[in-house]
Formats: sequence, C-alpha cells, structure tokens
Amino acid sequence: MTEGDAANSPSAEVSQKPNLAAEQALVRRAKDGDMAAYDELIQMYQERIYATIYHMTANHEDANDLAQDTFIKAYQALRSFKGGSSFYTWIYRIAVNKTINFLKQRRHKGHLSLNELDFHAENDPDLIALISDKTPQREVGLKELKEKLNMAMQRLSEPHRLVVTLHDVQGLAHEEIAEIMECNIGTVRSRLFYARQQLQGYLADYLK
Amino acid sequence: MPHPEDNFDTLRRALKLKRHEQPPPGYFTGFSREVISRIRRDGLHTRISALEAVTWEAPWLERVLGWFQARPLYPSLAAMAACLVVIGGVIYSERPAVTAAESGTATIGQPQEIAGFGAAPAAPRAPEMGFGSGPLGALPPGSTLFDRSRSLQTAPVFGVTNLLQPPQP
Repeated sequence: MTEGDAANSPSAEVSQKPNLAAEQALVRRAKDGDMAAYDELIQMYQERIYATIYHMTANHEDANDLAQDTFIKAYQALRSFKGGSSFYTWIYRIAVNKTINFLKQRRHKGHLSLNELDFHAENDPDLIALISDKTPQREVGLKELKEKLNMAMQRLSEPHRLVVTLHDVQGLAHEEIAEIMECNIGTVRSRLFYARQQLQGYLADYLK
Repeated sequence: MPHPEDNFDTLRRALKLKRHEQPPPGYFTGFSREVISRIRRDGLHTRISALEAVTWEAPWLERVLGWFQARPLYPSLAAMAACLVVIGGVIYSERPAVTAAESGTATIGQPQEIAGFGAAPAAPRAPEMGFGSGPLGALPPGSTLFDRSRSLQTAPVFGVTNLLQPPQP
C-alpha cells in the first residue's frame, strides 16, 4: 500500500485479512469434505463478497444470488485450489469474474435495488460536512446522494467500477486489486485515476 | 503517471457513503446456512463437471466463454465461418481430381478436334453421341453432313464407334 493509500485508506477495518494459518486449516478441512469448515469460511468472507457484488450491481437481489453462486462455485472448485494465492484473493476473483460475466449478460442496466443506509451514516463527520457545506442544493440529503452515487457508478465500465469498489469502498490495496484482477499495479492505478475523474465529472453538481 | 490520490478528496468522502449501504438486518445470519443447504441439496459436494475442471485450470478460458455468452452473435458468426471453411476445404480438396479429369479430356479430345480440321484423325475419339459442336467440327475433309447422316442410319443403335470411324468413300 502506498503512503497516500495508508493515510487516506477508506477502511482499514473493511480490508482486514483473517489469520492466514487459520484460513489454510479451514481450507484443508473443507477440501476433505468438512462442511462445518466451509461454513466458517463462508462466514469469514460473506460480507465482503456480498458488498463487492452489491456495489458492482447496485441491486440487492442480484448481489444475493451472485454471492451464493460464488460460494457454491468456490466449493465445487476447492479441490483445484492449490494455494498459489490466498483463499481470500481466490474467492474474490471468483466473485469478480461471476459478477462481470453477469453484468455483461444483463440486458437492461437501469434497475437499481439499493440497500438502506445504516444509522452510522448520519453521524459520519465526512458525510455531514459533504451534505451541509459542499452540496449546492442544501435539501439534497444522504439518500439522494446515495442514489446519485450509485447511478454514477453504474455509468462506469465494469473494470473501472471494480477498481473504485475494491479500493475506495472496500479499502483493498493496489497490490491486492492487481492480484484479484490479474493485471499489473500500473493498470490498477491508471484505472482508478480515470474512474475517479469520470465519477467527479458525473457528480460535479453534488461535489462542488 | 498521475497519482490516483490527487484532488479526489471530496469524491472519496462521498464514496464513503457506500459503505453505509447495508442489506436488511439479519441478512447474513442465515446466509452460510442457505449456501450449505444448496450445496447439499444439489449434490454439488460430489463432483465438478469436466468443463468446470478445465476452466479452473485455465481461467482465461472461462473469460472467453463468458465473452461469447455475452455476445451470442459472435459465436454464431464464428460457427458460420468455421462451417464455410470446412465446406470450402472439402470443395478445394476435391477440385484437383475434377481438374485432372477435365484436363485429361482436354488433352485427349482437343488435339483430335484440331486434327479433325486437318487430314484424318489419328486415333479413335472418346465416344460421343453426335450432338454438340465437337463431332461436327470433326468431319473429315470432303465429307458432308449428308454422308454422315447416311452412315448413322446404317450404324447399330449403340454403334457409337461408327461415328468415330472416318466415313468410307
């Protein structure tokens, strides 16, 4: 992670990785058919996998289906998992590939099914400042900003949306994103820059 | 290369909002149970298909398949192109035989026709039934169409070989 990333890292808590040894032990047991071990692995990653897919699709129902499919497919393919990368990266890759394939097949783009904001949102100092000081129309609340953000995200191409989701929303490091997306770090950085530029343009009225 | 962190503070603060979008309360409580029950119900914990095994060994293949699934027109065009290539290949592979046959008749027949305008034909021609331009062109000098029709009347029904003989003076 770069210094800039570390300083502005959106959520160290979001990208916390579980204990690698414990993870490996669970993977080994799950490979031997221990469903309880696989259940634990699901619980370790379900929120992050769901969130990644949700931010990509902006649709709760689709995210639910795809997250379930991801864990099912991962279980089926567990025997072919050789441990070249961490299980964490591996399952992210499955989720990302599934989601991108799904988005390419989805005919109509527009349907959003957004989740509600949790109660912490109203107390987030960054968001309070953004709404009260930066927004030209004062009546625009968090809810409207959420919708505008999601609509702007949906206008990005899948790879650009994915980079923003993984880095700015989920807090993954560039290196991890490069590994998940199977590209180099330079590509991740340039995609991130371009995606932010695009988003800034789409949200210009709300972010002045 | 521009550093991606440049001048995007406001945007990044706005994107923090997305972290507060949460599924309905209790959603994750039963999530793993549902996945496990689906795995058990569908018997998926037994084997994976050969195609899935291959795509796991070669992830790029999965991307290619996904790309094709997303654009059904392209695989159709690719299949049509493949069919055309196969058909073209079959036609092309049979063509040399046909050409050889064609060139064989040409080498046998053509000099005779040319020779027919000269003196007498040197060798028997390939059997022809007397229609088309070849036999007419092959009339020996001095003979007329009338002579030829007479010789046809005397010839047996299947005596095609008579046509090949020069008419008797």
